[in-house]
Amino acid sequence: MIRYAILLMVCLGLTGCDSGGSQAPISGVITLDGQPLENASVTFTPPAVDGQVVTSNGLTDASGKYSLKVTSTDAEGAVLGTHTVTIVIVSDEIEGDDETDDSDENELPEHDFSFDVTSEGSTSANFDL
Amino acid sequence: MLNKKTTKQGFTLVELLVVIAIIGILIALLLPAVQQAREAARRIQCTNKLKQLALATHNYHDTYNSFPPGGITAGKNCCGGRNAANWALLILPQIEEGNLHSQYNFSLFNESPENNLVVQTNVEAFNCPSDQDTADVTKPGSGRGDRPNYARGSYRAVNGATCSNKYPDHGTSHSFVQKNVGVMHHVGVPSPKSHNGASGGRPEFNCETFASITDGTSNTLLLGEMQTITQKNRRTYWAYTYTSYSNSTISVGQSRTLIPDYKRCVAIGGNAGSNACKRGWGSFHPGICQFALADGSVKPITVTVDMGIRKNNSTATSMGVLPAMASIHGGEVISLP
Repeated sequence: MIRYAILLMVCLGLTGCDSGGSQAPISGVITLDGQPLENASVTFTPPAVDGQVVTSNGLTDASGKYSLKVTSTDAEGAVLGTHTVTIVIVSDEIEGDDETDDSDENELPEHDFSFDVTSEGSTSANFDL
Repeated sequence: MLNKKTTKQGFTLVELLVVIAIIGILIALLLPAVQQAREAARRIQCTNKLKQLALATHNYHDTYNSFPPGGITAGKNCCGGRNAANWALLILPQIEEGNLHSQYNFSLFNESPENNLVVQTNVEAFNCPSDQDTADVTKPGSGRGDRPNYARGSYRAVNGATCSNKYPDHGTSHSFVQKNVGVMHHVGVPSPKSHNGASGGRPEFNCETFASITDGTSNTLLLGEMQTITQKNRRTYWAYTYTSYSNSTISVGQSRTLIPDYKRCVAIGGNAGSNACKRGWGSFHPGICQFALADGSVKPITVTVDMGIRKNNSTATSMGVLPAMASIHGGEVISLP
Protein backbone atom coordinates (compact mmCIF):
# COMPACT_ATOMS: atom_id res chain seq x y z
CA MET A 1 0.00 0.00 0.00
CA ILE A 2 2.90 2.31 0.69
CA ARG A 3 3.72 2.70 -2.99
CA TYR A 4 0.14 3.81 -3.70
CA ALA A 5 0.37 6.31 -0.88
CA ILE A 6 3.57 7.70 -2.42
CA LEU A 7 1.90 7.94 -5.81
CA LEU A 8 -1.02 9.79 -4.26
CA MET A 9 1.34 12.24 -2.55
CA VAL A 10 3.19 12.92 -5.80
CA CYS A 11 -0.12 13.61 -7.54
CA LEU A 12 -1.20 15.96 -4.76
CA GLY A 13 2.13 17.75 -5.00
CA LEU A 14 1.47 18.41 -8.69
CA THR A 15 -1.68 20.40 -8.05
CA GLY A 16 -0.41 23.90 -7.45
CA CYS A 17 -2.13 27.11 -6.58
CA ASP A 18 -3.88 29.19 -9.22
CA SER A 19 -3.12 32.88 -8.95
CA GLY A 20 -6.16 34.99 -9.76
CA GLY A 21 -5.56 38.01 -12.02
CA SER A 22 -6.64 41.40 -10.74
CA GLN A 23 -8.05 42.70 -13.99
CA ALA A 24 -11.57 43.43 -15.19
CA PRO A 25 -13.15 43.37 -18.67
CA ILE A 26 -13.56 46.84 -20.18
CA SER A 27 -15.32 47.81 -23.40
CA GLY A 28 -17.02 50.90 -24.76
CA VAL A 29 -17.57 53.21 -27.72
CA ILE A 30 -15.38 56.06 -29.00
CA THR A 31 -17.11 58.93 -30.76
CA LEU A 32 -15.82 62.08 -32.46
CA ASP A 33 -18.39 64.88 -32.35
CA GLY A 34 -21.06 62.28 -31.67
CA GLN A 35 -20.08 60.09 -34.67
CA PRO A 36 -18.54 56.63 -34.07
CA LEU A 37 -14.79 56.71 -34.69
CA GLU A 38 -13.30 53.80 -36.61
CA ASN A 39 -9.68 52.59 -36.40
CA ALA A 40 -8.93 54.50 -33.22
CA SER A 41 -6.42 52.99 -30.81
CA VAL A 42 -7.41 53.30 -27.16
CA THR A 43 -4.70 52.95 -24.50
CA PHE A 44 -5.42 52.63 -20.78
CA THR A 45 -2.38 53.50 -18.66
CA PRO A 46 -2.52 52.94 -14.89
CA PRO A 47 -0.18 54.85 -12.55
CA ALA A 48 3.36 53.47 -12.39
CA VAL A 49 4.22 51.18 -9.49
CA ASP A 50 7.99 50.72 -9.06
CA GLY A 51 8.49 51.85 -12.65
CA GLN A 52 6.09 49.19 -13.93
CA VAL A 53 2.90 49.94 -15.88
CA VAL A 54 0.51 47.26 -17.14
CA THR A 55 -1.19 49.02 -20.04
CA SER A 56 -4.20 47.78 -22.02
CA ASN A 57 -5.10 48.46 -25.62
CA GLY A 58 -8.19 48.34 -27.78
CA LEU A 59 -8.93 49.14 -31.43
CA THR A 60 -12.34 50.48 -32.51
CA ASP A 61 -14.41 48.84 -35.25
CA ALA A 62 -16.74 50.58 -37.72
CA SER A 63 -19.30 51.25 -34.98
CA GLY A 64 -16.65 52.77 -32.71
CA LYS A 65 -16.69 49.80 -30.33
CA TYR A 66 -13.56 48.55 -28.61
CA SER A 67 -12.68 46.09 -25.89
CA LEU A 68 -9.44 46.11 -23.97
CA LYS A 69 -6.67 43.53 -23.86
CA VAL A 70 -3.57 43.71 -21.67
CA THR A 71 -0.73 44.74 -24.01
CA SER A 72 1.96 42.47 -22.61
CA THR A 73 -0.05 39.27 -22.05
CA ASP A 74 -2.96 39.56 -24.53
CA ALA A 75 -5.38 38.77 -21.65
CA GLU A 76 -8.88 40.33 -21.65
CA GLY A 77 -9.45 43.54 -19.72
CA ALA A 78 -7.41 46.07 -17.79
CA VAL A 79 -5.81 46.02 -14.34
CA LEU A 80 -7.74 47.67 -11.52
CA GLY A 81 -7.09 51.33 -10.74
CA THR A 82 -7.46 54.80 -12.21
CA HIS A 83 -6.22 54.83 -15.81
CA THR A 84 -5.19 57.68 -18.06
CA VAL A 85 -6.94 57.16 -21.39
CA THR A 86 -5.25 58.18 -24.63
CA ILE A 87 -6.85 57.84 -28.05
CA VAL A 88 -5.04 58.11 -31.40
CA ILE A 89 -6.01 57.43 -34.98
CA VAL A 90 -4.01 54.56 -36.43
CA SER A 91 -2.58 55.85 -39.67
CA ASP A 92 -3.06 53.75 -42.78
CA GLU A 93 -0.59 51.03 -43.53
CA ILE A 94 2.12 52.30 -45.84
CA GLU A 95 2.34 50.00 -48.82
CA GLY A 96 5.44 49.40 -50.85
CA ASP A 97 9.10 49.25 -50.14
CA ASP A 98 9.94 52.63 -48.72
CA GLU A 99 9.10 54.12 -45.38
CA THR A 100 9.01 57.63 -46.74
CA ASP A 101 6.00 58.77 -44.78
CA ASP A 102 7.14 62.00 -43.22
CA SER A 103 3.78 63.72 -43.14
CA ASP A 104 1.98 64.84 -40.02
CA GLU A 105 -0.77 62.56 -38.87
CA ASN A 106 -4.39 63.50 -38.58
CA GLU A 107 -4.34 64.47 -34.92
CA LEU A 108 -7.42 64.07 -32.76
CA PRO A 109 -8.44 66.93 -30.48
CA GLU A 110 -6.41 67.00 -27.28
CA HIS A 111 -8.10 65.15 -24.47
CA ASP A 112 -7.59 64.48 -20.80
CA PHE A 113 -9.64 61.37 -20.03
CA SER A 114 -9.33 59.09 -17.05
CA PHE A 115 -11.29 55.97 -16.11
CA ASP A 116 -11.70 53.97 -12.90
CA VAL A 117 -11.40 50.24 -13.51
CA THR A 118 -13.22 48.40 -10.72
CA SER A 119 -13.47 44.65 -10.19
CA GLU A 120 -16.90 44.52 -11.89
CA GLY A 121 -15.44 45.88 -15.14
CA SER A 122 -17.47 48.00 -17.52
CA THR A 123 -19.15 47.78 -20.91
CA SER A 124 -19.76 51.52 -21.13
CA ALA A 125 -16.28 53.04 -21.01
CA ASN A 126 -17.39 55.56 -23.64
CA PHE A 127 -15.42 58.65 -24.64
CA ASP A 128 -16.48 61.52 -26.91
CA LEU A 129 -13.80 63.64 -28.50
CA MET B 1 11.67 -28.35 0.68
CA LEU B 2 11.35 -24.96 -0.88
CA ASN B 3 8.01 -23.28 -0.91
CA LYS B 4 7.07 -21.93 -4.30
CA LYS B 5 5.58 -18.74 -2.85
CA THR B 6 8.73 -17.71 -0.94
CA THR B 7 10.95 -18.07 -4.02
CA LYS B 8 8.85 -15.68 -6.10
CA GLN B 9 11.15 -13.42 -8.14
CA GLY B 10 10.67 -10.30 -10.30
CA PHE B 11 7.86 -7.69 -10.28
CA THR B 12 4.18 -7.89 -10.94
CA LEU B 13 2.66 -5.91 -13.80
CA VAL B 14 1.03 -3.42 -11.41
CA GLU B 15 4.32 -2.73 -9.67
CA LEU B 16 6.03 -2.10 -13.00
CA LEU B 17 3.26 0.22 -14.13
CA VAL B 18 3.43 2.18 -10.89
CA VAL B 19 7.21 2.56 -11.24
CA ILE B 20 6.86 3.71 -14.84
CA ALA B 21 4.12 6.16 -13.86
CA ILE B 22 6.26 7.63 -11.08
CA ILE B 23 9.24 7.97 -13.42
CA GLY B 24 6.96 9.63 -15.96
CA ILE B 25 5.70 12.12 -13.41
CA LEU B 26 9.23 12.93 -12.28
CA ILE B 27 10.35 13.55 -15.86
CA ALA B 28 7.31 15.72 -16.45
CA LEU B 29 8.26 17.73 -13.39
CA LEU B 30 11.88 17.96 -14.42
CA LEU B 31 11.54 18.77 -18.12
CA PRO B 32 10.24 22.37 -17.76
CA ALA B 33 12.96 23.00 -15.19
CA VAL B 34 15.59 21.74 -17.64
CA GLN B 35 14.16 23.91 -20.42
CA GLN B 36 14.21 26.92 -18.11
CA ALA B 37 17.79 26.21 -17.15
CA ARG B 38 18.72 26.01 -20.83
CA GLU B 39 16.97 29.32 -21.55
CA ALA B 40 18.68 30.88 -18.52
CA ALA B 41 22.03 29.77 -19.94
CA ARG B 42 21.17 31.22 -23.36
CA ARG B 43 20.08 34.46 -21.74
CA ILE B 44 23.38 34.80 -19.89
CA GLN B 45 25.26 34.24 -23.15
CA CYS B 46 22.99 36.82 -24.79
CA THR B 47 23.72 39.31 -21.98
CA ASN B 48 27.43 38.74 -22.39
CA LYS B 49 27.33 39.42 -26.15
CA LEU B 50 25.41 42.64 -25.52
CA LYS B 51 28.04 43.70 -23.00
CA GLN B 52 30.89 42.90 -25.42
CA LEU B 53 29.23 45.06 -28.08
CA ALA B 54 28.80 47.91 -25.59
CA LEU B 55 32.49 47.65 -24.63
CA ALA B 56 33.41 47.59 -28.33
CA THR B 57 31.70 50.97 -28.77
CA HIS B 58 33.79 52.26 -25.85
CA ASN B 59 36.97 51.07 -27.57
CA TYR B 60 35.75 52.70 -30.77
CA HIS B 61 35.31 55.91 -28.76
CA ASP B 62 38.93 55.63 -27.57
CA THR B 63 40.09 55.48 -31.18
CA TYR B 64 37.84 58.02 -32.90
CA ASN B 65 36.84 60.24 -29.94
CA SER B 66 33.17 59.59 -30.54
CA PHE B 67 30.64 56.77 -30.46
CA PRO B 68 29.96 55.24 -33.87
CA PRO B 69 26.90 56.66 -35.62
CA GLY B 70 23.87 54.33 -35.66
CA GLY B 71 24.01 54.56 -39.42
CA ILE B 72 25.32 56.85 -42.15
CA THR B 73 23.02 57.85 -44.96
CA ALA B 74 23.87 59.78 -48.07
CA GLY B 75 21.80 62.92 -48.22
CA LYS B 76 19.33 64.24 -45.75
CA ASN B 77 16.42 61.89 -46.12
CA CYS B 78 16.59 58.27 -45.08
CA CYS B 79 14.65 56.77 -47.89
CA GLY B 80 15.57 58.51 -51.08
CA GLY B 81 19.32 58.41 -50.57
CA ARG B 82 21.63 55.46 -50.34
CA ASN B 83 23.11 54.03 -47.18
CA ALA B 84 26.69 53.78 -46.02
CA ALA B 85 28.05 51.97 -42.97
CA ASN B 86 26.31 51.43 -39.62
CA TRP B 87 27.47 51.01 -36.02
CA ALA B 88 27.87 47.25 -36.33
CA LEU B 89 30.13 47.47 -39.40
CA LEU B 90 32.17 50.22 -37.77
CA ILE B 91 32.95 48.30 -34.55
CA LEU B 92 34.04 45.10 -36.36
CA PRO B 93 37.75 45.66 -35.50
CA GLN B 94 36.77 46.08 -31.83
CA ILE B 95 35.09 42.65 -31.75
CA GLU B 96 38.03 40.88 -33.38
CA GLU B 97 36.45 40.82 -36.83
CA GLY B 98 39.13 43.00 -38.37
CA ASN B 99 39.36 40.79 -41.44
CA LEU B 100 35.70 41.35 -42.23
CA HIS B 101 36.15 45.08 -41.60
CA SER B 102 38.98 45.27 -44.12
CA GLN B 103 36.87 43.48 -46.74
CA TYR B 104 34.11 46.10 -46.49
CA ASN B 105 34.65 49.04 -48.80
CA PHE B 106 33.62 52.09 -46.77
CA SER B 107 33.78 54.38 -49.79
CA LEU B 108 30.99 52.39 -51.43
CA PHE B 109 27.35 52.03 -50.49
CA ASN B 110 25.88 49.50 -48.09
CA GLU B 111 23.93 47.97 -50.98
CA SER B 112 26.88 47.90 -53.42
CA PRO B 113 27.54 44.43 -54.89
CA GLU B 114 31.18 44.69 -53.77
CA ASN B 115 30.00 44.73 -50.16
CA ASN B 116 27.56 41.84 -50.47
CA LEU B 117 30.06 39.31 -49.13
CA VAL B 118 30.48 41.21 -45.86
CA VAL B 119 26.82 42.06 -45.24
CA GLN B 120 25.87 38.44 -45.92
CA THR B 121 28.39 37.06 -43.42
CA ASN B 122 26.89 35.64 -40.26
CA VAL B 123 28.79 37.16 -37.31
CA GLU B 124 28.18 35.21 -34.09
CA ALA B 125 28.83 38.28 -31.93
CA PHE B 126 25.61 39.85 -33.22
CA ASN B 127 23.43 36.77 -32.62
CA CYS B 128 21.57 36.18 -29.38
CA PRO B 129 21.35 32.40 -28.71
CA SER B 130 17.67 32.77 -27.75
CA ASP B 131 16.89 34.27 -31.17
CA GLN B 132 15.63 32.04 -33.97
CA ASP B 133 17.07 31.30 -37.43
CA THR B 134 20.04 33.57 -36.84
CA ALA B 135 22.01 31.84 -39.60
CA ASP B 136 19.51 32.99 -42.26
CA VAL B 137 20.60 35.30 -45.07
CA THR B 138 17.42 36.87 -46.45
CA LYS B 139 16.04 40.00 -48.07
CA PRO B 140 14.86 42.63 -45.56
CA GLY B 141 11.24 43.82 -45.77
CA SER B 142 11.96 47.29 -47.13
CA GLY B 143 14.60 49.53 -48.64
CA ARG B 144 15.90 50.27 -52.09
CA GLY B 145 14.70 47.99 -54.85
CA ASP B 146 18.26 46.85 -55.57
CA ARG B 147 18.96 45.82 -51.97
CA PRO B 148 20.76 42.49 -51.62
CA ASN B 149 20.17 39.78 -49.04
CA TYR B 150 21.55 40.44 -45.57
CA ALA B 151 22.69 38.26 -42.66
CA ARG B 152 20.63 38.24 -39.47
CA GLY B 153 21.42 39.81 -36.12
CA SER B 154 19.68 40.28 -32.77
CA TYR B 155 20.77 43.66 -31.45
CA ARG B 156 19.94 47.20 -32.49
CA ALA B 157 21.37 50.58 -31.53
CA VAL B 158 19.09 52.92 -29.57
CA ASN B 159 18.36 55.87 -31.85
CA GLY B 160 16.44 57.92 -29.31
CA ALA B 161 12.81 58.47 -28.34
CA THR B 162 9.81 59.78 -30.25
CA CYS B 163 6.12 60.44 -29.68
CA SER B 164 5.18 60.92 -33.34
CA ASN B 165 5.90 59.21 -36.65
CA LYS B 166 9.19 61.12 -36.86
CA TYR B 167 12.27 59.07 -36.13
CA PRO B 168 15.96 59.84 -35.69
CA ASP B 169 16.66 57.47 -38.61
CA HIS B 170 14.74 59.88 -40.86
CA GLY B 171 17.15 62.68 -40.10
CA THR B 172 14.20 64.86 -39.29
CA SER B 173 14.59 68.16 -37.51
CA HIS B 174 11.45 67.53 -35.44
CA SER B 175 11.80 69.22 -32.04
CA PHE B 176 10.91 66.19 -29.88
CA VAL B 177 13.31 63.93 -31.79
CA GLN B 178 16.02 66.60 -31.48
CA LYS B 179 15.56 66.84 -27.73
CA ASN B 180 15.43 63.07 -27.17
CA VAL B 181 18.11 61.85 -29.51
CA GLY B 182 20.00 58.69 -28.46
CA VAL B 183 23.68 57.76 -28.34
CA MET B 184 23.86 56.00 -31.70
CA HIS B 185 21.53 57.66 -34.19
CA HIS B 186 21.85 58.10 -37.93
CA VAL B 187 24.05 60.82 -39.34
CA GLY B 188 24.18 62.00 -42.91
CA VAL B 189 27.13 62.76 -45.12
CA PRO B 190 27.12 64.34 -48.56
CA SER B 191 28.91 61.24 -49.79
CA PRO B 192 29.68 58.25 -47.59
CA LYS B 193 33.42 58.73 -47.35
CA SER B 194 34.14 59.52 -43.75
CA HIS B 195 33.26 56.57 -41.60
CA ASN B 196 33.75 58.24 -38.25
CA GLY B 197 31.38 61.08 -39.08
CA ALA B 198 34.16 63.62 -38.71
CA SER B 199 33.35 65.50 -41.86
CA GLY B 200 30.00 66.36 -43.30
CA GLY B 201 27.09 65.26 -41.21
CA ARG B 202 23.50 66.33 -41.16
CA PRO B 203 23.29 69.84 -39.84
CA GLU B 204 21.14 68.61 -36.98
CA PHE B 205 22.93 65.36 -36.19
CA ASN B 206 26.54 64.53 -35.42
CA CYS B 207 28.19 61.61 -33.68
CA GLU B 208 27.85 61.62 -29.92
CA THR B 209 30.63 61.48 -27.34
CA PHE B 210 30.81 60.58 -23.65
CA ALA B 211 30.76 64.32 -22.98
CA SER B 212 27.50 64.81 -24.86
CA ILE B 213 25.69 62.23 -22.70
CA THR B 214 24.75 64.78 -20.05
CA ASP B 215 22.05 62.54 -18.56
CA GLY B 216 24.88 60.25 -17.44
CA THR B 217 26.08 57.07 -19.07
CA SER B 218 24.40 54.87 -16.43
CA ASN B 219 21.03 56.50 -17.25
CA THR B 220 21.25 56.20 -21.03
CA LEU B 221 20.45 53.26 -23.30
CA LEU B 222 22.99 52.20 -25.91
CA LEU B 223 21.88 48.89 -27.47
CA GLY B 224 18.89 46.61 -27.13
CA GLU B 225 17.46 43.34 -28.33
CA MET B 226 15.09 43.19 -31.29
CA GLN B 227 13.71 39.80 -32.23
CA THR B 228 10.27 38.90 -33.53
CA ILE B 229 8.46 35.61 -33.92
CA THR B 230 6.36 36.82 -36.86
CA GLN B 231 7.17 38.80 -40.04
CA LYS B 232 10.70 37.50 -40.32
CA ASN B 233 11.80 40.10 -42.85
CA ARG B 234 11.28 42.78 -40.17
CA ARG B 235 13.81 41.30 -37.78
CA THR B 236 17.28 42.63 -37.17
CA TYR B 237 19.90 42.55 -39.95
CA TRP B 238 23.21 43.49 -38.39
CA ALA B 239 24.84 45.11 -41.43
CA TYR B 240 21.75 46.75 -42.95
CA THR B 241 21.91 50.51 -42.43
CA TYR B 242 18.51 51.40 -43.93
CA THR B 243 16.11 52.97 -41.37
CA SER B 244 15.35 50.53 -38.58
CA TYR B 245 17.02 47.20 -39.33
CA SER B 246 20.03 47.86 -37.13
CA ASN B 247 18.62 50.85 -35.24
CA SER B 248 15.42 51.26 -33.27
CA THR B 249 13.60 54.01 -31.42
CA ILE B 250 11.69 54.02 -28.13
CA SER B 251 8.09 55.12 -28.76
CA VAL B 252 6.53 57.05 -25.87
CA GLY B 253 3.38 55.44 -24.45
CA GLN B 254 3.58 52.35 -26.65
CA SER B 255 4.14 49.19 -24.62
CA ARG B 256 3.22 47.21 -27.74
CA THR B 257 6.62 48.03 -29.23
CA LEU B 258 8.29 45.78 -26.62
CA ILE B 259 6.43 42.61 -27.68
CA PRO B 260 8.60 40.12 -29.65
CA ASP B 261 5.74 39.67 -32.13
CA TYR B 262 5.62 42.16 -35.01
CA LYS B 263 2.19 41.17 -36.28
CA ARG B 264 0.55 41.42 -32.85
CA CYS B 265 2.18 44.83 -32.36
CA VAL B 266 0.62 46.01 -35.65
CA ALA B 267 -2.75 44.43 -34.77
CA ILE B 268 -2.89 46.21 -31.41
CA GLY B 269 -2.48 49.49 -33.25
CA GLY B 270 -1.37 52.85 -31.98
CA ASN B 271 0.34 56.05 -32.94
CA ALA B 272 2.37 55.84 -36.18
CA GLY B 273 0.80 52.45 -36.96
CA SER B 274 3.24 49.80 -38.12
CA ASN B 275 6.14 52.27 -38.28
CA ALA B 276 6.38 52.11 -34.48
CA CYS B 277 6.54 48.29 -34.62
CA LYS B 278 9.27 48.37 -37.30
CA ARG B 279 11.28 50.43 -34.84
CA GLY B 280 10.34 48.21 -31.92
CA TRP B 281 12.13 45.93 -29.52
CA GLY B 282 11.62 42.43 -28.23
CA SER B 283 13.35 39.29 -27.07
CA PHE B 284 12.48 35.65 -26.58
CA HIS B 285 13.50 35.72 -22.90
CA PRO B 286 10.15 35.43 -21.11
CA GLY B 287 8.86 38.78 -19.86
CA ILE B 288 11.98 40.84 -20.43
CA CYS B 289 14.07 42.57 -23.08
CA GLN B 290 17.72 43.28 -22.41
CA PHE B 291 19.35 46.65 -22.96
CA ALA B 292 22.98 47.72 -22.72
CA LEU B 293 23.53 51.12 -21.13
CA ALA B 294 26.16 53.61 -22.25
CA ASP B 295 28.30 52.76 -19.20
CA GLY B 296 28.67 49.20 -20.52
CA SER B 297 26.27 47.51 -18.10
CA VAL B 298 23.41 45.30 -19.32
CA LYS B 299 19.99 45.51 -17.68
CA PRO B 300 16.94 43.30 -18.14
CA ILE B 301 13.92 45.54 -18.77
CA THR B 302 10.47 44.06 -18.11
CA VAL B 303 7.95 44.37 -20.95
CA THR B 304 5.65 46.20 -18.51
CA VAL B 305 8.21 48.97 -17.94
CA ASP B 306 6.74 52.49 -17.71
CA MET B 307 6.74 53.75 -21.32
CA GLY B 308 5.18 57.10 -20.40
CA ILE B 309 2.06 58.72 -21.84
CA ARG B 310 1.98 60.50 -25.17
CA LYS B 311 0.08 63.81 -25.39
CA ASN B 312 0.58 64.76 -29.02
CA ASN B 313 3.23 64.63 -31.74
CA SER B 314 5.61 66.93 -29.91
CA THR B 315 4.80 66.47 -26.22
CA ALA B 316 4.58 63.67 -23.71
CA THR B 317 2.25 63.86 -20.71
CA SER B 318 4.83 61.72 -18.94
CA MET B 319 8.13 60.44 -20.29
CA GLY B 320 8.06 57.21 -18.30
CA VAL B 321 11.25 55.28 -17.64
CA LEU B 322 12.40 53.76 -20.93
CA PRO B 323 11.83 56.78 -23.23
CA ALA B 324 13.61 58.98 -20.69
CA MET B 325 16.56 56.60 -20.72
CA ALA B 326 16.78 56.65 -24.51
CA SER B 327 17.82 60.30 -24.67
CA ILE B 328 21.35 61.50 -24.01
CA HIS B 329 20.42 65.02 -22.90
CA GLY B 330 16.72 64.96 -22.04
CA GLY B 331 17.43 66.16 -18.51
CA GLU B 332 14.94 63.76 -16.89
CA VAL B 333 15.34 62.47 -13.36
CA ILE B 334 14.78 58.75 -13.54
CA SER B 335 15.75 55.59 -11.74
CA LEU B 336 15.65 52.08 -13.08
CA PRO B 337 13.01 49.87 -11.48
